[in-house]
Amino acid sequence: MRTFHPVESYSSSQAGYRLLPFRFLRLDDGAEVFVNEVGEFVLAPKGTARTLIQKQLPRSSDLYATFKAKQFIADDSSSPLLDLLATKYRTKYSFMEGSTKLHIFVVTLRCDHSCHYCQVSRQTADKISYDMSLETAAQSVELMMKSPARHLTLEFQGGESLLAFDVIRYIVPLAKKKAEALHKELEIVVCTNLSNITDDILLYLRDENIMVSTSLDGPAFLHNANRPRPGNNSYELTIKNIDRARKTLGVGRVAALMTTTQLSLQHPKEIIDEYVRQGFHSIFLRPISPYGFAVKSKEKTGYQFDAFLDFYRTGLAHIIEINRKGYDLSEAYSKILLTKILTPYGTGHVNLQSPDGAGLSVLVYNFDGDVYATDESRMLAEMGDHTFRLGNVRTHTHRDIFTGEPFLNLLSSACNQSLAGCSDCAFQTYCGSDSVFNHTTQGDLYGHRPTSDFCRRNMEIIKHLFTLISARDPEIMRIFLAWIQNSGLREISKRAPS
Amino acid sequence: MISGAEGFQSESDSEFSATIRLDPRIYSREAILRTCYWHTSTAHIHVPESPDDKLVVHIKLKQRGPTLANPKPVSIEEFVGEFCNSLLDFELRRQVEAETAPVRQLVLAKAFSESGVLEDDPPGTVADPVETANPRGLVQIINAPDEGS
Repeated sequence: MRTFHPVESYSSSQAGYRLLPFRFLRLDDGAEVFVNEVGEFVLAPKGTARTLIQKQLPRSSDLYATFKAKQFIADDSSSPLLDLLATKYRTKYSFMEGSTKLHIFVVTLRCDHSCHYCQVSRQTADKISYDMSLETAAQSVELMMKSPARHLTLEFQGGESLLAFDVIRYIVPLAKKKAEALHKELEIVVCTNLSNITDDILLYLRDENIMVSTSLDGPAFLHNANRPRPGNNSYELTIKNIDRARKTLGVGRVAALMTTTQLSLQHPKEIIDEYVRQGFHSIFLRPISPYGFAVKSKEKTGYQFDAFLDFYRTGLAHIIEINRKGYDLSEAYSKILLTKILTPYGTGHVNLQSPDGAGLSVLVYNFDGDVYATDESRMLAEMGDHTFRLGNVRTHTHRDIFTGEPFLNLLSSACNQSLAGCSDCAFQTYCGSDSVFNHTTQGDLYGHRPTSDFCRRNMEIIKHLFTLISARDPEIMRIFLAWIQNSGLREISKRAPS
Repeated sequence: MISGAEGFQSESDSEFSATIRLDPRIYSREAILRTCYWHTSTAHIHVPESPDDKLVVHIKLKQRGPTLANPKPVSIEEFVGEFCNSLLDFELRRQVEAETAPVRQLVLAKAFSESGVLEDDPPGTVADPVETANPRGLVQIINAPDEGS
């Protein structure tokens, strides 16, 4: 007969233990958070770091078992599980496979809005100067298809992209045909303020299976203040046309993004309630970008950093309350971070990944054929700074772009694993590197962490999420689980009753 | 004012500046430099060569009075206290890095190597899945196979 050994035979001997790679940080309440190379974490009381690292953690303690099980330490009864750690590492960074997946086509700079935070748009009827030519479009598609990624996303942006609908109609069949020939999957998204949408365009988007991403900054007073247009009716047009688009394309095919301004900062609850009122189940509490006209009009959009954190924390608390009351609503930034914290997977969010997503995860094809590393890079270019212009579709091959000096410079600071201040940060696996942001706000690609808004913002937000996680509220954990599984709270609750 | 503890001595040069002397047997140069880096947002920090065997850090606070943006600037005493606390943490971090660097390199090499090249064989023997031949294996044989069960 076979039986298990008695439990004592599995306990560790009195010999010492070895440390495996991990990093730690203190939370504001004194608790300590430990994160290993693959993003697994342990929350422990104050003083644990010293005890653990000085090899004084009692073998009989629960913490010892936890640290051992999560591969923070190893002792003589640990199996040689480095391959398992390596596999977890590979899983965490699997978003790197295939390189550039998101390809943004700026089909026109023309727009009917005059948002003060917008970096690039032009109010003009001049199609020749500010629309992408068909020749540039074809060359851009050609370059995009050189990306090794099997799954590509083609995103149309502007200006107001639908003002160049003829260019979109030229690109879509061309891209589809080439993707099919190369056995690549292709998803197409059009970013539009919807103000010029017609039934014909909607039917076209439906037939071509194209998703719509629109802008909704909040209730009417806020949206119209942020997004001026002739008639001051942007909100009314947007709401009416979201409804039309949903009827034709389906509710799940229309998404909305908000831009945060100084005015928005005073109204987190009103913005969130507007998203609920309009039937959205996701909202992205985005910080304002420090680019383009947003920098020029600092009086209007410049705001204290702390005000954004208050906005985010108040907003997140309100969103959690809304979920508690039975309406499923996720917050996109938290969802990205929680996926990294609570699952074995990483996420390739361009502005929150290491290696930096600039070029590696996204390329932007401007109307004039210039290729930029990120959307923010072309906004910088509009301000006269062409640092991140990687090439031009007419003169540069895929190889030229990825071996050219601008991209290689970007790569030199792309990994937070090797940046001062990041290399020993506990949140390294969850955070990212943003060289374009560093360049814009601090004047060099490498950046200075102690004064970096990118660092401070992510540090504070991740700490806040850990504070929520450490509260061990089962309902909050179910809400977070629902977000990262793209599922409803009721389905999660059914699976794991408290 | 001079204050000190084991391996640590601090002297306020003025209301806004101080000199810290650290014992290199307790605090590594690397941990000190990393601590200095994180405090460069609030102070100008200088780490000069020292004639004695101590590691010396000169600190000058950047903000010398209240402003609208920061009405309560940190005092030199508070700064030195915070500096020393974070120095302890950075010394611990350095110890972890020093001890685990080879394992970390191995894990990364395994993670990004071609499949199979750097993989270890799984523990145990394929022909003996329950490790009957291994007395410390997962299960043990305590008597002859029971035909009836």
